[in-house]
Amino acid sequence: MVTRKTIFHKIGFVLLILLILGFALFPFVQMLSTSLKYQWDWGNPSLIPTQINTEAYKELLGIGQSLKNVPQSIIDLLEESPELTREQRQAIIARYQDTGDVFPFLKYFGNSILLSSVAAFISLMLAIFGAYSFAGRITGDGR
Amino acid sequence: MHTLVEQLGWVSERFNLIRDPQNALWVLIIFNIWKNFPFSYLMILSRLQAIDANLYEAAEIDGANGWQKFRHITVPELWFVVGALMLLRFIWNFNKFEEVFLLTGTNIKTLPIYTYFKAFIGTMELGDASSLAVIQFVSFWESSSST
Repeated sequence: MVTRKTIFHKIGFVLLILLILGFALFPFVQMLSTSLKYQWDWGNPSLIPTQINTEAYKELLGIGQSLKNVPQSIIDLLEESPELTREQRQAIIARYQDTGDVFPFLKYFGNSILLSSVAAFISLMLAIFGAYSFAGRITGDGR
Repeated sequence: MHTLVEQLGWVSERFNLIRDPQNALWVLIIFNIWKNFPFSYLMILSRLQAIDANLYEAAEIDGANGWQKFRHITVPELWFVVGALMLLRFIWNFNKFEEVFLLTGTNIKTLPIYTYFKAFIGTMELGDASSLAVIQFVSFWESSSST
């Protein structure tokens, strides 16, 4: 039999879970929100960006070319010139980009992967052999 | 360490191991292994000691030799602990910032170090730093859901 007390308990439990979930997920939502905001929008406390900006993702993942340092007049000119080939557009954009700004994502990612995988693997191998011997299992009978 | 290496005659002059990024990476790996080995060790040791002795006795009665007992009892019993440890260790190492930064400064270019620099040093490009953090988060989400 479902009593009023049981229903209140269930609602309370769900609310508690939602509260904990919200508390745990808030930093991730804030992180996602900041990544999609323009610099002028960082002071905005709202989690929803005024205008969506995906330039940072494009720059980091090397998707297309970043238009970060390209003057707006040049961007307008490129949009109004459909006769330009892709290579010509890239050459024009490259003039305004500092090669020092290009982020070598794969290098950083590779270093992180190397560090984490090699250290984890060797540490685990040492632990397995050490623990096996300490557990008194080198008896030759497979224990 | 330097004195020992010098006395062994391996090097003629002292050198800074963590100045060169390539060396620094391996120094960091060794440091990481040394620091994190005990946790894995304890987890595996506790699992080994918790394996039911009856399983080995039953296998002996069935005529299993040492290798067969190891292959069909010990390894399967350890498998999930080792798998969980490998996954956790990988994730923890991947997100490691303080050890890398305090030991080698900026010599090792890992993603958390770059995120920190983008967010808090120089021009403070929070958008770039946040997007980098989101990419790390999504890649881990994907890898953990696929395993």
